[in-house]
This record gives sequence, C-alpha cells and structure tokens, in this order.
Amino acid sequence: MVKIYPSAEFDADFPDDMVEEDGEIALFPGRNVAEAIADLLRRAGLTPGEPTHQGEHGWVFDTKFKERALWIQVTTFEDQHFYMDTEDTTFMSRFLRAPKAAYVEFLVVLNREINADSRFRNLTWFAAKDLKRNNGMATPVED
Amino acid sequence: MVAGNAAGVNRGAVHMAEDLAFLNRLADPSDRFESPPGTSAGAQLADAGKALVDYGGSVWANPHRVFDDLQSGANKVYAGLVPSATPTADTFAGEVGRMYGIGKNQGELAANIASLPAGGEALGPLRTLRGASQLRKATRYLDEAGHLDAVAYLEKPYRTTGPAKGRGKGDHAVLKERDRLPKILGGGPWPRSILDSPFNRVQFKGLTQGQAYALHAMIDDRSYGARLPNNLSVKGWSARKAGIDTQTGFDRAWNRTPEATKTLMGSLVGGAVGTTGEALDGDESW
Repeated sequence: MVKIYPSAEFDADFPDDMVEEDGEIALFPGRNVAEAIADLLRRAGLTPGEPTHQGEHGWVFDTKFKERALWIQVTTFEDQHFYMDTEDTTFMSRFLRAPKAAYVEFLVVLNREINADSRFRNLTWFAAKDLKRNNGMATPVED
Repeated sequence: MVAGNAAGVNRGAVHMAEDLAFLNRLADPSDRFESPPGTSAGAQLADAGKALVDYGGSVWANPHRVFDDLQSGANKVYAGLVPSATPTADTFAGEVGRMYGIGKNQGELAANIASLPAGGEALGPLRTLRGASQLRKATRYLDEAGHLDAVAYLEKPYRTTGPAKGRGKGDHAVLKERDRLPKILGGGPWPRSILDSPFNRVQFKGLTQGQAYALHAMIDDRSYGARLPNNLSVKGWSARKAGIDTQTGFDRAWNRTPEATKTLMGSLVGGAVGTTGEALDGDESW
C-alpha cells in the first residue's frame, strides 16, 4: 500500500509579511509563500483559489486535482522557515483506508514544483502528527 | 476555576452518595417495610417506571415531543454550565450569584464524570484538561533562554485575531473548516453555524495565550506554533521547541471534545443514574 507524508517544512527566501495594528498581530505571516505555492500549482495546470487568513494557522487555499478537493495550509513563526500541510478534503475522504490515487499524484506534483523553484530549500515531508518531532522524509510518497 | 466549583464537587459527592444509598436501599428487602408509605426505594422506582410509561404514551401520541424535550434539556444544561450562554446580571451581587450557581453545576458535573473511571468510589482532583503539565511547560524554554518579554506576552489572557476575532477562536473538533460538503450539496464549505456550534468547537476561554497555543498544538495535528508580535525578543512560539507533542488516545479524545458535548454526555450519563433532573436545592443552579 502506498504511504503518504502530507505535511512538510522548508526554508524559503520571502520577506516577512505579517501585519500589525497597535502592536498586535492583525494578519499572521505567510500569505506571500502561500501565493507562491498557488502560482507553482497554477503553472502545473491546477486552478487554486486565493489564500485566506486563518489566524495563527497562517494562510490556506483550496484547489482541485482530478475531481479531488484538496487543501493547503502555510504556517510560519520562525525566520524564513515554513510549515505546509495538505489534505484531501473531499467528502468522506477521512474515512478512506488508503489515499486516492489523485491525491498521491498531487503530492508528487507539489513536491516536484517546489523542489524546482530556487526560492525554496530543505523541503522535508512528514506524517502530519510527526511534524512536531522533526524526523521527515525527502519525498511525500513511499511505495 | 469558577466560584462555586468546590461547592459543586461537594454537592456531586453528596448526590453520588445519595445514589449509592438509594441502590443499597433497593437491594435491602426490609426497606419497603421500614420506609413511610410510598417512600421506599422500590416505590420510588415503581413511580419512575409509571412516569416513563406515561411519557412513552405521550410520545406515541406526539412523536415530535421527544425532540422538543431533548432540545429543551440540552439548552437548560448548556445554560446552567456555560457562563456565556446566559446574560450577565445587572448588579455585581447578581453576577456573583449567577457565576456561583454555574460554578456549582460545573463542579458537580466534573465530580460525576471524574468519578466514573473509579466506579464512583473516588473523587480525584479536578482536571478539566488531560495532560495539563504540558500546558505548564509551554513557556519554559523561552524563560530559560531569557525571553522574558515573550513569556510575559504569552501569560496574558488569550485573545483572538483575524477571521475569528470576536467569535472566540478555538479548535474545530469534528468538522474542520477545510472539510467539504458532499458533491450533491455543492461540495462547498460547511455552514458557519454548524462549524462554530458549541458542539463542534473547543474554545480556549480562560486560558493564557501560551496555554491556548499549547493546547491547540496538543489536540490539532496541524498546529505547530504561532508568530509573536514584532516588538518581542523572539519571533514565535514553537510547540517543537517547547517539547509539546500531539496527544493520542483518551487524553486527545477528552481534550478535543467541546465543553458543550461533554456537558451533554455528562448530563445523559448523570440522568441515567438519577443524579440530574431532580429537584434542585432551591437555588438557581441544578
């Protein structure tokens, strides 16, 4: 059975785009990185939506790939270091025993596009619950 | 801790003792001979059975009644336990009384639930959160590194930012914002009223900023930390650096269950053993 690692961390050269009002955070950072990843997917032929703000979670956007509804989150709270999550949010997908082939293929595309862009470095993939433990994989899919 | 919690725990213990005494009386063959007419445990059980049969008959005649009653009961329980569910009193003394009543209810419910794993024999220390020691270490690594300004910021009461501002941010426990409706219903996001229902959202009320971030990281696979304001000496708070990991098993299930759901479950369990729905002590709590 194919095993997937749907979460990732990476370093990236993007300016800090957090917005503050009266010394408090109004918009958490990471919008520019979320938009850059959405652009990479657009170039790969997908149709991602605009990133939206999700408080301390950062920025999220949806996209479709071969009829699957997919979700991407970008979070950052350290200098030029980012966390990314993906999920197949198609109804009932959380009850599947194995990921759908289209979601697996999407992860391969996402990994390829990010690795091909020189602004991103040290991309490492994780099972979501392992991302706090720092023991990642070089690719998001394992046969 | 809300004023009245301790009194509620005491009352929960008294009610549990009364329940146990009731069961003992039921098992005692001499109870029906020694009790005044109509007050033996057997007679009370028979009355309860008759009331149940009568209720069953009225539900048969009006099936919708059961839904009305369930909703009414759930609303009453919610209002009795959650301070924000009822309006604040006009006077200071009135508000103290309201919070004391709610605190008593919370204490009694917590006592009932806390005693269940021990078979009702023990009233352990109250712990509304499982793994609370993780919350206490949320800011320790910043403290040790000398980022005292960040520690002070994280010890302030939690406040919401961004799209959740004013709604009371929390963790969507069952349905996530990212979950999509079935294709037959359009495949879009779930309605806000369902997502933000008290039965779907763990709220961080009463926690400090640091505790809220730590709890979020403990119960949400996809929460790793949070950025801090620019005027502090460190850029962000990190669950990994704080040594906080995603919970598993019962701790995770407990902490991810919204208070309203716990309340309803506790009420159903308590009702099943006769600890709720009884005449109150003459005050506004139940």
